[in-house]
Amino acid sequence: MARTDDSTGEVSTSIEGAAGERIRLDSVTKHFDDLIAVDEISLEVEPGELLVLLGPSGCGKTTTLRMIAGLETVTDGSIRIGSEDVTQTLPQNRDISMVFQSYALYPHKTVRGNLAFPLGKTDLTTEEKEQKIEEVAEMLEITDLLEKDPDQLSGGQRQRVAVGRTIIREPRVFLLDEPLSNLDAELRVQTRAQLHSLQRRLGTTTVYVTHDQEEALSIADRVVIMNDGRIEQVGTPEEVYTEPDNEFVAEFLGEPSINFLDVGEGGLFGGEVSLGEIGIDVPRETARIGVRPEDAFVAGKQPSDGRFTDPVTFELDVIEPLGHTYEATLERNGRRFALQSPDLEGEPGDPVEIQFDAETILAFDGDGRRL
Amino acid sequence: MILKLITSATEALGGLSRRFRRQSIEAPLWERALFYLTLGVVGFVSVFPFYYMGVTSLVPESWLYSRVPQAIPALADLTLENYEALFGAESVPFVQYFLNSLFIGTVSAALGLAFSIFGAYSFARLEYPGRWVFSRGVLVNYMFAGILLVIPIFQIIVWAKLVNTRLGIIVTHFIFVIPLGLYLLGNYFRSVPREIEEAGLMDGYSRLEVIVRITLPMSKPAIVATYMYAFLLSWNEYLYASVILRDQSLYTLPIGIEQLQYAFQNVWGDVMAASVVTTIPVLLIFLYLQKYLVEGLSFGNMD
Repeated sequence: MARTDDSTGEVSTSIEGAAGERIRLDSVTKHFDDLIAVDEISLEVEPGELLVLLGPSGCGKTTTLRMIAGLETVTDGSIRIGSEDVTQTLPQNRDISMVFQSYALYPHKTVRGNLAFPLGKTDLTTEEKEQKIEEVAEMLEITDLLEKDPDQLSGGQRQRVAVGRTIIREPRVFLLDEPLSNLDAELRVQTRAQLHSLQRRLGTTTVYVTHDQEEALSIADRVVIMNDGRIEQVGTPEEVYTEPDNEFVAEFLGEPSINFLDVGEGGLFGGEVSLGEIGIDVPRETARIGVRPEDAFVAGKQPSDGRFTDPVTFELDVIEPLGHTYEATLERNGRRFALQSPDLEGEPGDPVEIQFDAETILAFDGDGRRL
Repeated sequence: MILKLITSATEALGGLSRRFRRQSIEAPLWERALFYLTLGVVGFVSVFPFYYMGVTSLVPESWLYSRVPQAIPALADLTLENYEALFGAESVPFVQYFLNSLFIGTVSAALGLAFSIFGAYSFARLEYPGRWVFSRGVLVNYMFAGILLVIPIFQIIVWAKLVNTRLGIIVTHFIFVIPLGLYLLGNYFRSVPREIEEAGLMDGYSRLEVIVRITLPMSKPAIVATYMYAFLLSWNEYLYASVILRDQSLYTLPIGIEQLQYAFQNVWGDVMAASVVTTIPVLLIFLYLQKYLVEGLSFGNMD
């Protein structure tokens, strides 16, 4: 029931979202003929959490989401929502709702018809349904669009209708499959923030699939990084970025990508510079070290606190101004190094002295695991 | 035939509007002249038989056999006597033929459509062994000329004891609707995005409910086209009706019109009057539903 509080004029709505339910995937596997799309994934989504599945295309993230939805059968393993095992439950009986990448609005129904459709299976009275439609429309600022057809709407408006259709039934779980990928860049950032606050407010357990790392890190409570049908790492956005479990995660996150430097013959750059020489202290099994482009500084311009390596001289190859900072590719002995720094200056070919932040250097062993 | 006419006319119209948009830029005069000339010839060839059918039905027999053939009758020559004779003749239950055709067409088209909807949906969406064989095999049926199958089908009808019944002819027409129905609807269903159906499942509806409430409304053009095709096939079908039906009271219009030859003396005016009466309802339905029809047919890539 929406009531209008006379003193403030604020409308409080009945759309509250179901109390969060826990989702548990236990050794879930999916085969498409010979292809293993998802390989024994075990995962828990905490009640009320916004969990993002992130990974390159073909990594199995969408298949995982579709198995939670019930749109793909599970080859092996089990899926539980709350205390209920839903592995064999038909999608229409799982009490889950989903935003599709294409939005999948019903083209033959108006916006109102689209919002009303999920309510058709609830036992609400006609007035209650009308009320809910009005509330959701108000919440998503699409009240003016209620009588329009989907093909009359812009991309952003369609997206909001799709979200409205998802939340109106107050299901146990929201699933979102690349919900922002069809929007232009500016709208994507804005909509991302709105989605985030909406999810906070409703407190409904949400699984969100994207291949866009920036989107994932900005919106997630926890991120699951997937590759090749397997989970590489699960953690908060800070954890997966600063403490990646392996080289894949380290490389996948961050734009430009992290720099890997081979520790050959006990030194960097083909053994030319020894680790000790510039003050890098890593375990003996280290095969490669990783340095993020923003963790290297032009010599003399590093922050006053912290521990930094001794300068290494590179040759400037490409420099691109981004306004607030510069992105550059440096070279030494044929090895490239990406750098992001506001203090860069010079022309291609000029020498640049670089110091690494010793605290943030990541060390990996020969199998790509972080030490 | 009418189907062809309408599709060719709409194609011509499409070509026309394309030409118009382009004319100010490039189409030279002679090209446009050639275009209209071609259009005129095609139009004349398509429409003249209908025109002459209409004229013949409205003039006395004597006018037809006048020494100098005329294309346009004088107003004074026009008469409804052919129609009066057609509906007045006791020996010819023309209204009965009309109702028979209407009934058989409506029912066989409805059955054919219902069957095609579920069959085509299964071809388009469901996975099962042998699907490929079924979905292609059904088109093979379409490659046989109707007359090749007369004897086997008649034997089946005899075996099923359906000779000289409405059901017998309904079943036969139904069989002939299915290949095209499956093909047309199957292609259309494939064009409905899977995600939209999945959204319906996620919104709490069963597969069957999703078909009825989402897939079918979205496929209205193909459904209308299939129904029209099926109805028309039955409405115009002569061969099987003449083989299966014996009693005059069961005759459909095509056989009925043929029978007029034996019932009337000066037969052409009456036959043409009957043809006009047969054609008009079909034309009316077509004009009313043509936007769906064109969309549905052009989608199934059917010429």
